Amino acid sequence: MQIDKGKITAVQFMFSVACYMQASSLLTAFFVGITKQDSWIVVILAFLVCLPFLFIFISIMRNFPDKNLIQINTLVFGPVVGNIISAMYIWYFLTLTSLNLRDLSDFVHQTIMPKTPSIVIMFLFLLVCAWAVRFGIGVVTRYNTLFSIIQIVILALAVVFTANLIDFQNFLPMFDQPAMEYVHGTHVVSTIPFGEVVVFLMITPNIKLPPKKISKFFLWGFVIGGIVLVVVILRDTAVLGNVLGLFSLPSFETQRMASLMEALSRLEIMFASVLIILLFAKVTFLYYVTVLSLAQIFKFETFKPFILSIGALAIVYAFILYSSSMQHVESGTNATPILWTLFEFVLPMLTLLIAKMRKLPQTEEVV
Amino acid sequence: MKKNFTTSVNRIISVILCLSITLLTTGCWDSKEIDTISIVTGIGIDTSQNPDEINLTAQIGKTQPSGGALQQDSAGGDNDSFLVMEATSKGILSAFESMNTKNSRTPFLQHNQVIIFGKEQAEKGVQSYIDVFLRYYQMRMEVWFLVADSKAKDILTVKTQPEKNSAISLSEILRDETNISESLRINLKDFVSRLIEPTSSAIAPIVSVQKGIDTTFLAVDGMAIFKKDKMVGQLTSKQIDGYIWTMGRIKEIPLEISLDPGYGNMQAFNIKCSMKPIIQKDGVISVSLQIRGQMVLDEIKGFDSMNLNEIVPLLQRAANEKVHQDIMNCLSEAQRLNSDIFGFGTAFHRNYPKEWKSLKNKWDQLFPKLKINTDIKLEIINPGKIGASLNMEDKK
Amino acid sequence: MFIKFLVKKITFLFKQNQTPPIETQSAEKKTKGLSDKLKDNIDSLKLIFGDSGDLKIHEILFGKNLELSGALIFIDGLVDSKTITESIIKPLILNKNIGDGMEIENMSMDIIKKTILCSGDMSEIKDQTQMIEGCLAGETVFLLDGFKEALLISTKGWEKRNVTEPQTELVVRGPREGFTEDFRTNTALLRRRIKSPDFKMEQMKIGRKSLTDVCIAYIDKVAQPRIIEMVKKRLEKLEVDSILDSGYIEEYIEDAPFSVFPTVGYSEKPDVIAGKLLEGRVAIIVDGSPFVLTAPYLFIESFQTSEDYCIRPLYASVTRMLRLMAYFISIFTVPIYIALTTFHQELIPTTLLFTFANASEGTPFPSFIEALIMVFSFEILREAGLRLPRPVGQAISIVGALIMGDAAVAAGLVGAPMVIAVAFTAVAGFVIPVQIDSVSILRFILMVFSAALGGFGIAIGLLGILVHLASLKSFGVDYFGTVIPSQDLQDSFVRMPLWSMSGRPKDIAYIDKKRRKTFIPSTRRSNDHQET
Repeated sequence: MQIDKGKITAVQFMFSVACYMQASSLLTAFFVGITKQDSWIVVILAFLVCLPFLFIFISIMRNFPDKNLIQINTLVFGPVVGNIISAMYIWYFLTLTSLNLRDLSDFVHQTIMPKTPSIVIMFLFLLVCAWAVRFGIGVVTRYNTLFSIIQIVILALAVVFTANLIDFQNFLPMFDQPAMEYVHGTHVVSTIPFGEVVVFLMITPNIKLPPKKISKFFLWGFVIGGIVLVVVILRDTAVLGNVLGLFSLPSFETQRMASLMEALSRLEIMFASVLIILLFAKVTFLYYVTVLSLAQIFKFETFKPFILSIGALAIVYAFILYSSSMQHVESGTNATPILWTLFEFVLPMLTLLIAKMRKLPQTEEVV
Repeated sequence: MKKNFTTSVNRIISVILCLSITLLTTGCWDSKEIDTISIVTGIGIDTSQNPDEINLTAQIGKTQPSGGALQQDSAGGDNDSFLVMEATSKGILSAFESMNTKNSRTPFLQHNQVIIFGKEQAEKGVQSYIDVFLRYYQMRMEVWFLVADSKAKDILTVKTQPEKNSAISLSEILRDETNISESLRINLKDFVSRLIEPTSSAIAPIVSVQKGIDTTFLAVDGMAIFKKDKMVGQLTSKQIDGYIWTMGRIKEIPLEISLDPGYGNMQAFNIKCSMKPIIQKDGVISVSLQIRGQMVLDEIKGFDSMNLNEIVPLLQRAANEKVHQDIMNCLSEAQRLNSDIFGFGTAFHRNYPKEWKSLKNKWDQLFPKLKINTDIKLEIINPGKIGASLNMEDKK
Repeated sequence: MFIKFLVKKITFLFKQNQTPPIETQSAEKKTKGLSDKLKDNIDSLKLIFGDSGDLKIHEILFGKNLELSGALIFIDGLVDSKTITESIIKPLILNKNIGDGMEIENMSMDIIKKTILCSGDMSEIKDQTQMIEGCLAGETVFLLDGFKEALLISTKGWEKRNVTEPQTELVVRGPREGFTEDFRTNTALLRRRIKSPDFKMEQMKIGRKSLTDVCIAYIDKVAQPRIIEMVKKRLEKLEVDSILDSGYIEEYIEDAPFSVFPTVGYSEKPDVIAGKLLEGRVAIIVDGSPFVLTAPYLFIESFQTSEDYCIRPLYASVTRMLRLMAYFISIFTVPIYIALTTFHQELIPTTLLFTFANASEGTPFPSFIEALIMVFSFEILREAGLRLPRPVGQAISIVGALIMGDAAVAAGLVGAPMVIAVAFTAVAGFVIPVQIDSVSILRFILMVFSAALGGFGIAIGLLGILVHLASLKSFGVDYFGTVIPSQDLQDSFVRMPLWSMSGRPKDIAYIDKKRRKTFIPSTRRSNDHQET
């Protein structure tokens, strides 16, 4: 049973993946504190580490072209274990939604509106998200192409505007940190922005393309997202140098430095607006996925009744997740990556293995 | 049909109600009308009698009402474009807060152009007062960092021309690349970046008030040298030239050569400098500096009995010698103060990350003995609009 | 017994199944035949029309011995009296041979129709309703004593406006014809442009009282049957008593009546409508309205003008982008100004900030109120200037814009930058006349958002607008298009050369998707040149 019958094109899917990852460029503070000027190496390493897992996701998609993650879980692990795993995934999706919501409100709070209470920011933001979610996958992913391209253009502009501040000496010395730091950093990057693409397993049935061709688009989306992240890190490092690690929002500080003559200075608004737009895309998608999987697990015919309740839950959850943004960064660097590994790498791998062992998709076809 | 209509109307009304309630009952925490803020353009920090406190000077841009509405004259004198407020307190923000009681408007720091430390305060240490400039959300990293030759307050109270507001005029001076070399423009990021590096020493330009014919103006001449966060000495303008050459971020620089037979003025351009730290096999460290560039002859005086072909090599050699001398002067001053203002330590760190681990702890002993090998080649490629000088032709 | 019971039961069932009373009444009317007595017919007609002064009943006697008596019934003003005299009365009265050598029983309407009357469009009718409807549509009814049939003779002819250049969509280059209020003229204007038999016009009457002619026009195989069906179904569903303008229809059939964005398009120019028909859209022509509707209507169509296709593509693209920019400027300038001056002063360059600060020094109101006053007074001025005769309208705009604005600034009530922002916004808004309602409403909403939450509020508002746009559908087609990517981009932000736009819009067109079979790249055309 497919709840949302909307279809999206392959290109939309590709840019949704890219957009999703681009939205994470805010979270660089999690690992620049660990690996400093070598963070870009860590991003590339994480990218390479994630590639095999990406192929695991892709082969899951191929094996179950008309099933989303929740349905696959029930099919592969049986109804009891499958539902437990699905419930865990729902918690994971909800947590991601709340985390990103919290990120947005912290960002707005720290940079442009220090006195406005977070609840207002979150409430209004989630209201718009909820409105988009109501209309299903078509509206949720509709603008991702546009957003993704806008972000790339703004990024390119920002690189141009900061060109006079770039000092390539700032990348030296390379590989100066202890090896464990690189492992740690790679782990953080591979789980926090990169591995999160596991959420796209929820929309496999909505892609208007034979699943065999999906791999190309998934990969390209992933590559675009990865490149953007690398460029952001490279720019921040080149501009800020050793000050990079001091800030909780290095990209924002970099943008504040950018100027092209005096008249075109103070361009952080570009960054801020692009970030809000991208986070909108990301939160909306996660919100949608949460609501959809909940409707799926309870076998509802529509996900609409869940929207507002999940929204309220997400806001409350966002408040109780962390007491401060320091704690957020702390757990982002140390605790979350380990937990996320389960959802992003271990479970998909297990799913694929068991599915292969039980030769599941074939039996399904016979039935 | 009818049911649809009523539900959609209900829905729209509920959305409108929801939005208007959130917007109207909650909005406007951060809204600050433009005429309720005082735009701070410069911050000066001086010592006060109490060693624990500082004396903060804030220069606030004053707005002139346009149109017919007349405004009462406010403190600070007639027709000034700015007013200056002072407060003494333990921290910078607390000083601003104590100013608030005297000012009807809240200070707005996002447009702050300069941070000026008084000389005395700079000598006492700046680090404890820099934190706020990084942490507080209204502070920006591109603000210029300066040291006053006496008190910061004097700099911020002076009236300048044509820019009436001294802080803005100072930032204009610093922004314009023809006025000042890039390596002398220190913004907060550069300063902090030097400060958190364990070996290198920060520098900051020194600004002083000077009397002109009928106006006063601000001049940036001299550099303050910091050791850790304390100012320990300063470079003279000659030594600054040496510093500029060493740091290598120059596009154009005038060179003035006085020799026995005459005087020459040249403009050096197209300059390429490369600084390379070297660790020899026996562990001796040195820095090699390669400078390549071209010069245009702009002015000569004297050289009576010589023709141009003789003058050019003479000036060229003298120019190279002079650059070398400047660099050495600057280095010896830095070495005397044991302040690695050139960032040589960082350069060693970047190029020899392995060896650096042992060098790092001995850097204070190594730096005063560090040798610079210069390899300077500046060539005159263009004698200017005329060939021979007027008096030279007379001789022929 | 049993059979009787059954019959009773069945009749009862039938009664239950019967349609609502209004319809039965009309059904009864329809079945009422004509009497063979002329007097009866005339009397019943008089009863129906009452004292309507424009109903003319012209009785004539004709035949060799004047033994035949008939009547011509028509509505004065709807008919061309010259046609009546020339082609009906003259042949009847002057021809003394009528009935000659013929028994009156052998006479028939058919003979009169075929041998005597000189008109191209005649039909024989037998019932009263048809007669009345014909009368009301401008036809002349010919009744003959002793016959149960009547003749309906087309004599339509009333005062109508000439085909003139429309006032709303002025062009520098391109056709200048505009639709008129006359239904037939309008269909003819379209038919003249598309001469293919595939061009279908399905006619229907809407409105219980007004009985307005409405025509659904489309090109077979180019327009999607799904969309045609949807339009037809929505039109058939209409249960209204009158349609006085195509705007009525628009309101009844549009997808999102409460949206600020129009989902049904209109135009006054036949070339525009023909272009849209050829893209696979459906046009709705309404009698009495010079505005022809098109559906589905997409967002990007607001930025396309007929002139875009008449001028060369490069400049057309530039102007189109200019229009898009003007749209955004018109919505966002004032909200952004409010957000900048009340929330994000840090984003204004220092010198500009001092300019703004000087301007707002001494003005008593917060920016939002200032903007509200200005925008409000602008809307009032616009409304005032719109309805008045042109010379007066100009005077009002001079008084309003120049004197009031200048005085407000001079008096220190409003800052000069705000006046500039609002004036600029206003001018930019006029660039896209179709979207003017969405512009002014959205501007106001965003102003409230930005006054409450600054830049974040604008972002939220913008995202809300985007979500709304994405969810809108016009007759099953995505209103905002598929955004990116789409081959329809050829005719969106830019207008590619016509030779490169070989396909019709992907979302709209049906089987016949190509405008032209082969693609002619510009290089080949240059080759042609060399060969010759």
